[in-house]
Amino acid sequence: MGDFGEIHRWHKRYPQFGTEPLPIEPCISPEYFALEREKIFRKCWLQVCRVEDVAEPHSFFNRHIEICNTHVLITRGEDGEIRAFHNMCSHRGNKMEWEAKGCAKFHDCKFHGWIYDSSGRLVDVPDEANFFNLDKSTLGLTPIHLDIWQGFVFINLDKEPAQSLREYLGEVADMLDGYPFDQLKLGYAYKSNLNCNWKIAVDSQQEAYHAVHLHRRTLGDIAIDQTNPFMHALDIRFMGPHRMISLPFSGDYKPSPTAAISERFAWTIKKEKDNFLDPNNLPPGVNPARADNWMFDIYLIFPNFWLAPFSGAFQTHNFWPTGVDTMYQEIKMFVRPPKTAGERFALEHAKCLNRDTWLEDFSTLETTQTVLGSGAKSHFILQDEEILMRHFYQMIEDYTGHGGRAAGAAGSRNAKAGVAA
Amino acid sequence: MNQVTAIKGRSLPAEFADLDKYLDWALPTERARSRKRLASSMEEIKAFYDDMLARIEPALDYLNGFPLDDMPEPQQNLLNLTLMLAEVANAVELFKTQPGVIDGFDPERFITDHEGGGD
Repeated sequence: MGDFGEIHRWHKRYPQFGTEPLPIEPCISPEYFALEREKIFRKCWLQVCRVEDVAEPHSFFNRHIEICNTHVLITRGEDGEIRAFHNMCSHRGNKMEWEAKGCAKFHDCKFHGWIYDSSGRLVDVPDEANFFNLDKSTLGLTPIHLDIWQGFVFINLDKEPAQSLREYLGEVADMLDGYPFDQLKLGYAYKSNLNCNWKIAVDSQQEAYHAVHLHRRTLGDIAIDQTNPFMHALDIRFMGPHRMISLPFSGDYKPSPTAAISERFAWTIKKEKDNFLDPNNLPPGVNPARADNWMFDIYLIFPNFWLAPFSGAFQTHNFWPTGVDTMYQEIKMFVRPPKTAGERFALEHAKCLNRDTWLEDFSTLETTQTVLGSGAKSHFILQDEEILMRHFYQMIEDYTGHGGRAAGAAGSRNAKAGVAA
Repeated sequence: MNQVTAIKGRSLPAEFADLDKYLDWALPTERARSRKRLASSMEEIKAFYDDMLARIEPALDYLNGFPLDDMPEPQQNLLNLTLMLAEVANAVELFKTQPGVIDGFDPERFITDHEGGGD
């Protein structure tokens, strides 16, 4: 795992990402946002739900994807197949199914009563004979590419995706296959609308430098000790457009009075001897440094999906842009469902600590956005532990073909950093 | 604002009658518990925390003998009290000077999408 005190160790390992400041422009520019819409969100695989969200035949899940100007309807047909469609009636374009989720063998458009089945086929048109040469077999819901990895349902809004989901995930799938995602169930979830650019929120969840200060009250005792006072990472890896950071817990950790109660009655973040993961058969990407003081890993699956495996739980974040300075963030924690009151208490205790920590995280996002457009500063200054941001903005540049500089500014950061391939 | 208030005539199991004075802290949802925490003074929170901490282990040992998803009402009230201890713990143990997160985001904008557990 190397020496936590060694400076610039990630730059030494990954010199291709440079040491220069990052332009602020991509977080405030409407033109840049339009490029992200066309070149990223309409091209990349996007995680929208889990298979459990459409567990039964005819169950469905509705997702408004504002940045792509569409509603996506995920359904499980009578045949058990999960499919995705634009949730748009073929007749006059009304948004067809209005419920957020549910179970329905048929969906009827509220405008004129056209009826579709759970496989997207148009099955009934009122006063059909009065149309002209209407061929119902060609007028089903418009399909969207959908694929599934480890129970995570992804869609791709491109007409012909350049890669399959498995090809797109690449090394991420190699690293995490074998983690028992299917044994954990949704324990708690939050959602919040935020007045900030979506990348500001992503950035707040891809470095631990902030934890030392912003989370000093909530996570200080858990994550920081004298040997690693700035919570330097255990490992950092880059996999195509994706990236990961592996994070430690404190060697000096002493549970609070209530945390000690949780530890007595249930699994907690600090109680490793739960046999959930076989230490001799870990997926290669779970605690990749094989560190003794591992706490969890954060995988950032490009562009907007955050996935963190712990020993007995995993957490997801989805960052959904709705405008250049508006977005919403979904947070979900998947756990072993509590079976006893003691386990229920421990889950609530962990949830309250997580929630209060997220309230600290969210506190800086909108305040940042309110001054980004001031013009007072043109760049973010990054230290070595924030290298995931360098990779993220590099990928955004690569996909958009835009360096984030104001019009007329010379050269892209890509060129300046000497990234050739 | 607070839709969930104490219901008259509710009770705790007889073994935990010493906690009866906290029946209006036995709230069934995270949102209700969070609002109660934020509407209370640190003195009230500390008194509740101290009294609950002294009884939490016997309470959980006792409640572990009941089915989590089908608790009789007195036992469910006691369970809700233990969850309220989880709610206020950060105020006492971490933030110390105020009930809510110091410089934190507005909790009313942080929407609970799913509670999980036995709720």
